[in-house]
Amino acid sequence: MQLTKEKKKVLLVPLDPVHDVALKIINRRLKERGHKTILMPPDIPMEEVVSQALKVKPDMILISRTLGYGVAELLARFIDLVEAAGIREKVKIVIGGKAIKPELAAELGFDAGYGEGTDFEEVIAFVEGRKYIAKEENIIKKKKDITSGYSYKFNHPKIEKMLNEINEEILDWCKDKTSPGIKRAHLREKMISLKDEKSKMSPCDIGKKMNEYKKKYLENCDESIIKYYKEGILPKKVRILTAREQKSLEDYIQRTKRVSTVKRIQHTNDKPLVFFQYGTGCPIMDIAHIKIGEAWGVDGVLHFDPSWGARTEGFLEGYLSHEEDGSIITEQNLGKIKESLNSSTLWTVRAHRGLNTPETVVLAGKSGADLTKINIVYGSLNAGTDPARLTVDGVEAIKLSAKYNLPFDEPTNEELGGVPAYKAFAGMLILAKLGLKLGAKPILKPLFCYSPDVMITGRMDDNYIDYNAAKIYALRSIIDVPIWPGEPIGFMTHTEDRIQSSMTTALHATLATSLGVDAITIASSDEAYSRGSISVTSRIDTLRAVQEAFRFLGKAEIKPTHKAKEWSNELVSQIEKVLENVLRKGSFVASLYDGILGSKEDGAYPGRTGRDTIFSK
Amino acid sequence: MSSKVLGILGTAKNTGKTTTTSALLEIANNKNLSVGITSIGYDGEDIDNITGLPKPRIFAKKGTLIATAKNCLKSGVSQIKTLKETEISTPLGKIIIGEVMEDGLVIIAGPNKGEEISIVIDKLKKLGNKLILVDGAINRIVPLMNTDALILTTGAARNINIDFLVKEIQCICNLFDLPKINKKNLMNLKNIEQKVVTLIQNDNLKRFLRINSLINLADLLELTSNLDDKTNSIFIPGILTEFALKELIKKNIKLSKSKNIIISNPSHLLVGSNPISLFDILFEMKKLEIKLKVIKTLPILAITINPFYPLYRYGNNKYESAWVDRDKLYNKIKSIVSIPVIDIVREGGNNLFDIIKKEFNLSQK
Repeated sequence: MQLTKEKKKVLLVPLDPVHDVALKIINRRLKERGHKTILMPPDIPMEEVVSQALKVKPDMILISRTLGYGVAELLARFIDLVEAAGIREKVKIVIGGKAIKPELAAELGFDAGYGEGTDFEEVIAFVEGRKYIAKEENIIKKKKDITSGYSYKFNHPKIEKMLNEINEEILDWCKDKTSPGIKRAHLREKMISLKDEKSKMSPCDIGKKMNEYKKKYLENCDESIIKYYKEGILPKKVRILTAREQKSLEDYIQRTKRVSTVKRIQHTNDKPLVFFQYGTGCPIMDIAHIKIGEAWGVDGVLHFDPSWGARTEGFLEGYLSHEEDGSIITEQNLGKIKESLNSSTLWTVRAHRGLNTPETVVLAGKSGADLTKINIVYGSLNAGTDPARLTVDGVEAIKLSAKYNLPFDEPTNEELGGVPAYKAFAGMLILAKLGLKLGAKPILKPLFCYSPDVMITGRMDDNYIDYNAAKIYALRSIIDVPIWPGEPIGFMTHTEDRIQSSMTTALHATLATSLGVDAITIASSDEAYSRGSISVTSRIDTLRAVQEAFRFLGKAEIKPTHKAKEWSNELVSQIEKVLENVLRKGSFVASLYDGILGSKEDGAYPGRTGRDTIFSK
Repeated sequence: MSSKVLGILGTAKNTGKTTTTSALLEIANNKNLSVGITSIGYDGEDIDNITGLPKPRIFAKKGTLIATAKNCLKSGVSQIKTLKETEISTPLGKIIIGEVMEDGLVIIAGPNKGEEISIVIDKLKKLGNKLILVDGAINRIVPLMNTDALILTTGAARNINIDFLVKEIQCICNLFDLPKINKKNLMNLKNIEQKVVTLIQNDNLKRFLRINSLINLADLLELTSNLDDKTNSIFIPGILTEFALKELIKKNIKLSKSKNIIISNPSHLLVGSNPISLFDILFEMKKLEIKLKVIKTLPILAITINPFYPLYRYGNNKYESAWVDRDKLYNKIKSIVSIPVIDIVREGGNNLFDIIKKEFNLSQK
C-alpha cells in the first residue's frame, strides 16, 4: 500500500501477554484515521520484532509492556537491537504501559512514553506528528449563562394573563412601602461605591460620609449587629479570623490557584450544569470545598449563610468565621471566596428568604456573583419571614437583581414542608413573571424530591421518574424558561448510607440529563446525616457518581410511563386553580397569610420574623 | 590536544554507571579539566524511576558543559545557561548544550541515538571540552560505540550470582577483544554502499543478499542458500544473534568452516545474545576455524563493580536496598580479567581517573 506522507505505517507490539487492550484500541483508531497498521501477536521475542520491522519498514513502533523486574533491561535492549539493525533513525519508537513516564521513556531510549490514564488522542497525535492539546486544555471551561437561549415566552395565555393581574396587584401594593432591609440595601450600595470615589473625594470626606452612612445603617439594624459595630461584641459562635489566619487565607488562595485544575463532568451532553452548596462556616474551609469541587467537575457553587442571618436585621463585616453551619455574608468573606473561584465557576449567593434579602443581592452583585436566589413564597411560608415584609423586600431584591444582572433562581423548597408541588409552582410562577416584568431573569427551581405530598398521594410508589418528569413537562408547557432542579436533587431519597446516597443522586442526575434541564444542585453523600460540616470526600463521592451517570446515559433517554404526561396535565390545571384563588382573594400577601399558596394543613406556616416592620416611603 | 570521549557502559540498571560518572566528574572538576557531560539515559534524579529507591545524584561545578533535555533544566538545582539549542527531540524536550553557572545538582537526559550522540559530542568538542563523559543507560550499549573508550560497570543488580557476573564480564571483555579486520578488507567493505549482508568471494567478487541482519531461520536460509565454497567472508552490517550464529555452525558446519564473519562492532553481536552462552559458541567457532572479526572495537579501560541490588518484596510490593559480598565480588572479577577492576564506592575515582588520564593523555588547563 502506497501511503501518503500524512498516513503512517505503524507496527504495534504487545510485549505483554495480557495487557494489550490499549494497543488494540489505538490500532482501531489509527486504522479509522487511514494509517496502515500491523498488530503483532503478543509475547514475541524482541529479535523477531526487529526482524519484522526490517521487513515492513514502519514509521512507528508502538510497544506496550507493564513494568517489572528486568523489564527495563529488556526494553533498552530492544532499542539497541533496532539501532544495531540500522533502522533507529528511520523509526520512532513509543512505549506505553502502567507506570511509564516520559522520564522513563527517555532513560530507556524511546522517543515517547505514555502511562496509565493517557488519553489515546495523545498517542495518535504523536504518531501523526501533531501537537497534542490535552483534553482539559481542549475544553478550557467557560462560564455558561444558564439563561441564554430562552425566550421567556408563555405558552399558556390564560396563566400568563392571571400572573399579570397578580403582579400588577403586588407592585401596586408595594409601591409606597419600604423596610429597614431596603434602606440598608441602598446604604450598602452607597458605602461600597464610596470606596471608588477616592479620585473625586478626599480621604477625610470619604471617612465622614462613611460614618454618616454607617450611622444610618445601624439605625436599621438589630441590637446584636449594633453591639458588634459599637462595642465589638460578636454574636455567639462567631469570631474574627486572626491576622495569621487571614494571612494563611491569602496564601491558601494563591497556592490553590497555582495548582488547581478544573474538569468537565458532563459526557456527551452539555446539560445539566452541576452545582453544590457550600457553607461550612469558615471561609478557608469553603474555599477548600470549592477548589476540590472544581477539580472534580463542579460547574457552580451556592453560598449558604447561617439560618440566623435570615432573622437578623443587618450584616456584620470583616473576615468572620462561624462555628456552625452557614458562612457569614460579609463583603470581605465574599470577596475572598470570589478571588478563589476559577473563571469558569458559576457563583450563586442566596438571598431568598430573610430580612437581608435586598442587601444580599447588593453584596452579591458588588462581589461579582453570577446568580442569586429569591423566592418570596418559600421565604414566607417555610423560612420564617413575615409575608408582607418579604413581599416588599422581595420586589426590591428582584429589581436589584436586574440592576446587577444577576439571574435569580426560585427554589420551591416549601414542598419539603408538605406543600403540594402545584401550589409551590404557582408561587414560583408568580415570582417568575414578576421578575420578567422588572427586567430580571428568573430560573425555575422545581424539586426532584420524595416529598411528603407524593408520599401521601402515592405518586412515587412505583418510581421516582414519573412525577419529577411531570413537573418539568408541566413547567415547559407553561413557559420557555431555564429549569434547574434542586436543592439538592433526590431530596428525601438519601439515607445515611454513602453508597445509597451517591447512587440516588446519580440516578436523579441521569433523569435530569435525560430531561435536558439546565442545571442541578447535588448533595454530598453525607449530607443526609452530617448534622454539621460536610466532608470533602463525600462531595467527591457524588461528583464521581454523577459523572458516571452522565457517562452511562450519554445521549440515550429515560422513558417515563404514561403517568408523567397525565400528572403534567393535572399539575397545569391545579396551578391554574391556585392562581384563580389568588386572584379571587385579590391580594398576593393575603393569599400567603391565608394559605392559598400553601396552608397550615399542608405544612406551611406564614413567618413572623420582620412583622410590622414595613412603613410608608 | 584533541578531545576524548569516554562512555560508561553498564550490564544492567543500578550497576554503578552514574556513581562512576559522578566520581570522574568530581575529580576532573577538582583538577580543573574542562569537562563536558551527557547521558543516553536519565541521570541525576533522586528516586529511581522503577524501584523508587534513592539514586546517586550528579554534582556539577561551575563551568561544566552539559547536554541535556530542556525539561531537565528546571528539575536540577544548579543554574544552567543555555548556549545552544539543538534540533534533537526526546520525550523530555529538545536537547540543549548548557553551561553550569553555579555549583549544584543537575539532571541529565541527553540524546539516545548513536547519530545524535555524535552530533552532541561534536558540539561539546567544539566548545573546547577535553574530556567528554557519556553516561550510559540501563544496559544500552550500541550508542556508546560512538565514544573513544569505555568503562564497564557491573554488579549485583545485574545478577546476584557472582559466578554469573564473572563469566559475563569475561565474555564481554573477550568480545571487545575480537580482532579487527585488516586494512585491505576494510577498504573493500567501505565501498559497499548497500547496507546488506554481503558475501565476499575468493575472487573478491561480492554477493549482496536481501537481508541486513542474521536474526532467525529465515535469514539463515537466505544466507546458506547463497553461501558456497568460494565464500571467503560474510559481512553482516546489522544484527548477528546468538541463535543465528549457533544454528549456522550447528547445521552448516561444512559451509561455514574456515570463513570470516565480519560484524560492525561487538555490540551488534552482544545485543542479540546472552553473553554466557556466547562464551561456548565462540569456543566452538574457534574449533571450526571460523574467525569472527569486527570493523571497529573500543578499549575497555576498567571495570567498576557494585555490590548493591534492589531486592523486591512481594509482601508490600516494594523494593529494598540489598548487597552481595563486596570483597568476594571484587576479588573474583579481578582474578579473571586483565583489565583494572575498581570498587568505585570504596576507592573513589582517583585510580580510575589516572587510568583514563594515561589512556587519553589528558593534561590540565
